[in-house]
Amino acid sequence: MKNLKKTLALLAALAMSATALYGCGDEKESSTANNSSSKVEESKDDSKADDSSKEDNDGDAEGDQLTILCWNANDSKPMVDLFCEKTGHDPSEINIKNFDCQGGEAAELYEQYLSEAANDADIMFLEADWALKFINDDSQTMALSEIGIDESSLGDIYDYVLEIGKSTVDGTLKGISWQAAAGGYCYREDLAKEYLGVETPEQMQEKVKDWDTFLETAKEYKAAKGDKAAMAATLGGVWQVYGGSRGSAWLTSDNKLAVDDYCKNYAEFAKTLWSEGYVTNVNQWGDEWYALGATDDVLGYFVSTWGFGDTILAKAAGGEGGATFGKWKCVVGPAEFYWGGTWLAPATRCNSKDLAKEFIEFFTTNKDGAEAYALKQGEYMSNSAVMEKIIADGEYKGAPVLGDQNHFEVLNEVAKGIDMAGKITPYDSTIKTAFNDAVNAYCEGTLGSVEETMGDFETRVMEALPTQLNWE
Amino acid sequence: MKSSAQNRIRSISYAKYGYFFILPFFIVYFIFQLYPLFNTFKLSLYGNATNPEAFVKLDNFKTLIFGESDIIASKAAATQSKALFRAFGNTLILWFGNFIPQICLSLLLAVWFTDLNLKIKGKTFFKVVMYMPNIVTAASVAALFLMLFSRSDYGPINSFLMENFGLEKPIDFIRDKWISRGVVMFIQTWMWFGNTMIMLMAAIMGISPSLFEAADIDGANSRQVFTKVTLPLLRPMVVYTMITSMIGGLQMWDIPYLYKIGTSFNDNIKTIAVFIYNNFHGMNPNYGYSAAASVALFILTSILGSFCFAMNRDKDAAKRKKQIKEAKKKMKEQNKATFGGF
Amino acid sequence: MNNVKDSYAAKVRAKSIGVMIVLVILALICLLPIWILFVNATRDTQDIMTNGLSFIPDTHFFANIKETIRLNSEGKITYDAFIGYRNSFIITISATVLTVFFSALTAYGLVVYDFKASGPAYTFILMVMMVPVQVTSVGFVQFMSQIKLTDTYVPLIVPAVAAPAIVFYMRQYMKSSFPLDIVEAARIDGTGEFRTFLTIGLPMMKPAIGVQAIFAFIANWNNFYTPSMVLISRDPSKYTMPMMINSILSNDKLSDLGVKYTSIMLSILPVMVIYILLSKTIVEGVAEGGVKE
Repeated sequence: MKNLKKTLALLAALAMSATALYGCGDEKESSTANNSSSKVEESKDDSKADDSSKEDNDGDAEGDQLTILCWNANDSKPMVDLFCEKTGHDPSEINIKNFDCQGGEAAELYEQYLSEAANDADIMFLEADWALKFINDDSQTMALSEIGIDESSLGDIYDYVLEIGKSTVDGTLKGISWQAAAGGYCYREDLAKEYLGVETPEQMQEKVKDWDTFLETAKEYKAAKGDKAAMAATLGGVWQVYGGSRGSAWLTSDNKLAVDDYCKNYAEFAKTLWSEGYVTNVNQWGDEWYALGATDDVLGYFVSTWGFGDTILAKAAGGEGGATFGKWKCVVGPAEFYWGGTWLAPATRCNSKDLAKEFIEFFTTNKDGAEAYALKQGEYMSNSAVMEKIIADGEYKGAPVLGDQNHFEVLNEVAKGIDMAGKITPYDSTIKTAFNDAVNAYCEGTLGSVEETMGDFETRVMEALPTQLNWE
Repeated sequence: MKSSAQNRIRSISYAKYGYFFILPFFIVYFIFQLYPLFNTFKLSLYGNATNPEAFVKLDNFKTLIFGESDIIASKAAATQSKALFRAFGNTLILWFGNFIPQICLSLLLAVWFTDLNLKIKGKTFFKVVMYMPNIVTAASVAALFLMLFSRSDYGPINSFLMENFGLEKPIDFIRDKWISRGVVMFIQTWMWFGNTMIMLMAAIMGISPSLFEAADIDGANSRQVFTKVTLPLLRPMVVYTMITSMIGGLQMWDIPYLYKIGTSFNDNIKTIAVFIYNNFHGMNPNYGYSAAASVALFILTSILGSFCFAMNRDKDAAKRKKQIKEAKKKMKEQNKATFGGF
Repeated sequence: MNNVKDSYAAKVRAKSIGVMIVLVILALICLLPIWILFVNATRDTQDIMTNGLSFIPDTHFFANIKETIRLNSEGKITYDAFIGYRNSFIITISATVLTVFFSALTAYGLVVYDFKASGPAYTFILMVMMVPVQVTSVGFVQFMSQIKLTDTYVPLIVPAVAAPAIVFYMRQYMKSSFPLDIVEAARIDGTGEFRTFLTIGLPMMKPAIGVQAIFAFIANWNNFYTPSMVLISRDPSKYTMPMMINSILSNDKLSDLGVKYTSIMLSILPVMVIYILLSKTIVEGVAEGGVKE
């Protein structure tokens, strides 16, 4: 009883002092010169406190600063580092506003942040899935031409990269990506040799050149290997490729959902892959997804440009020196596809247009900049001329996980084949999620037939987009 | 016993302190919460994604409850309504499924822990351990269980079952209708039974030990002690637990929201709160439906809540009425007696 | 006579053993997932990925911590345990103290004083308790933004004063075990009303306060939703622990599982330590506080 009293008293005292502390902290943070005041924290933890105090300063001295909105620092940080290193700009001129969340959540946080007129924003990182939400809104983003980037200067940029950055309202080009998130089919060289008798990537490509052949090969592979013989790690990965090669948009011109043979074919195809074990029942992005790479249970992964490093493939192979590291090869696969990618768009409230222009150009049209970044990050850039030059130079050796193969050569093939003109709608991510949910239910047997699956798909979209689409 | 007149005199002089004491609560509430509350009611009368500024009167309610709308196509409206009622059904199922085991378990444990006759070693250890799941953030709990219950051949629990118990196909713990519900109920119970147990224990310990001693001396067995002494005296706390659990249950959000693969929700565990949340946040928000659903949920909770209170209060009131009646009867008898004395 | 006693003792012993078995099983169920979390925090990524579950701790805990620090300093993740602890403690302790103190005050006001507005006020509190939190929070953030309180801790701490559910609990508790005569006695002694509350009311409500303090502490410590909505500008120096956890869990491109589990582990560690240290005090305190006539 006494003890409890003491504890409560202690807690109260702690709270008092904490509130007092907090009060001070707040004042300090609102005053401009806070370097001295955060010394105490700095001594505890140098790097972080340093970062934060810097950012506080930035927040107050905004205006001529370039503020970049993004949802993680995986790209923005190395980009800013390289940009400052090569152009001589001081890092303090750029403020990375990292919202630290999943890509899908970023849109809402951006909106919230931008709803405050005083908040600075110059360049926004946009994910292809929801980029149109901002790109179609003139109060949020403005045309690239308004910061001085002319469409005529973008001749070397892959068409589909520009296509995704265009407003579907009036066709203005508002966003551009530095990456061409093209991807390929990465397979285990040793397994392919043992069970399929495949010696070279060219032979492998023959075996997976289209979906029918892919299925044939899956059958052959399973017959040869027996148990646990999946052609691809996840159905999600297959979908990225199959979904990317749809010939038309998900919506018709009068804003109705377009359910056609393509959808039905995929449902059948997915069911076959699933029930025959040509894909594993593992979920993308889960622990097991990575673990599969070190086992012999899976022949291949579909991998996009950002996935050759630690994000997927290198990690799955067990890291440098891992069980299957270096045993992978990459081919174009059944269809050309892009997966992910981040677009840069100038915010309407952009008040440092020159720097914004320089920054965006540095990673796209500026050949030295784009090349430097490609080599630094192993990233396939959206500037085709730069990529072709790197391939021709032959100095870049490709991702280490692929042994001696340069994946840029494969991705170069892929990027040429991607066509997105007229296929993008503002609701793509919602519709695709609904479609996959329906197809998954069909694979698992909850839904009995393809017809039922299509009905379920429509219902799911209707539930998610009741007012957004035309349901008459 | 003081007379009511005395009572009144006493309370008049001190009433103003009552206002002083509850004032901070109301000031803070009005400053921080009233506008949002008002805002929700307002939004429920306004349009959705494509036209959020339009004043649509009660169309959102009409759409959600009756599946008809003057604005959107009737089949889209019907789908919305169906989705809401499905979410409502899920909410009730999930709530019952975790509330009943939770209250039973907590009550049992609370009684055991407070039973001085039982020789339990390491009581404190058990109490601490059983409360522990409540300490972990819901996001971490969901991440942990998603990993454990992974539906593939390689998932820890599935591979364990397949290797040791000859399970042929992995169990889909995340998407299967009843299994996924079961898992969510289990997680909720796992997270919250320690919390309820502590609350009930505090209440049991508030019961005077002399009552238990008296019961003991009278030779009551433990079941009798529980039903005749503990439970009746525990009623205010059990009522509290029930009401807060009902409110919490109707607003159950975090685990049903987080227990999913990537961005695909499992329709079988989508609760009303998830419906509200998804329509408010997400990529394609429909503020009107979201707000209308929350107003409907608010009304529903109020009705159920008032029902709980009415049940509880009626008993008190009935008791009081009975007392008054008895007192009157006594008085009458007394009067009779006095008169009879004449 | 002796026989009866013996059989009674035997019965109690048998029941005790049965109870112990149930308790051990429950304790195992409670501990197992947390134990797995702890074990995974001590393993390295490759081991977790290839070997799945393990129940034996490994030796990589400090390597994982080091890696977490490295990733944080490179800006790949936002996870700094010390800043997280500091911020979370400031918010949690302030909010908890405000919650229990003002809830007790409000409940005391409602129970002890018989005034005209007490009925309606109580009904009002019950009504607002039933407002779903998920949606009002958006209006809340909008409003905070209007009065320029976003990016401060004020919206995370001050609203704790008005906690309807806790007022309700305290009121229930007082109704069942608070003798009003004692207030009357204090008045006769000439003690001021507020002083009576502090010296008599609060101590008598100790069990209720203790219980609600624990719950409020945990709820505030784990609150992710409100801070992430209110701290719009995402200044890492203001991050709370759950925000850091979310930063880790939502980062698709972070494939280092050791780091993931270690950071979750670190976030619950202080609460767990405090709880274990104080549990005896709190649990026993709750018990003793209740033993009163």
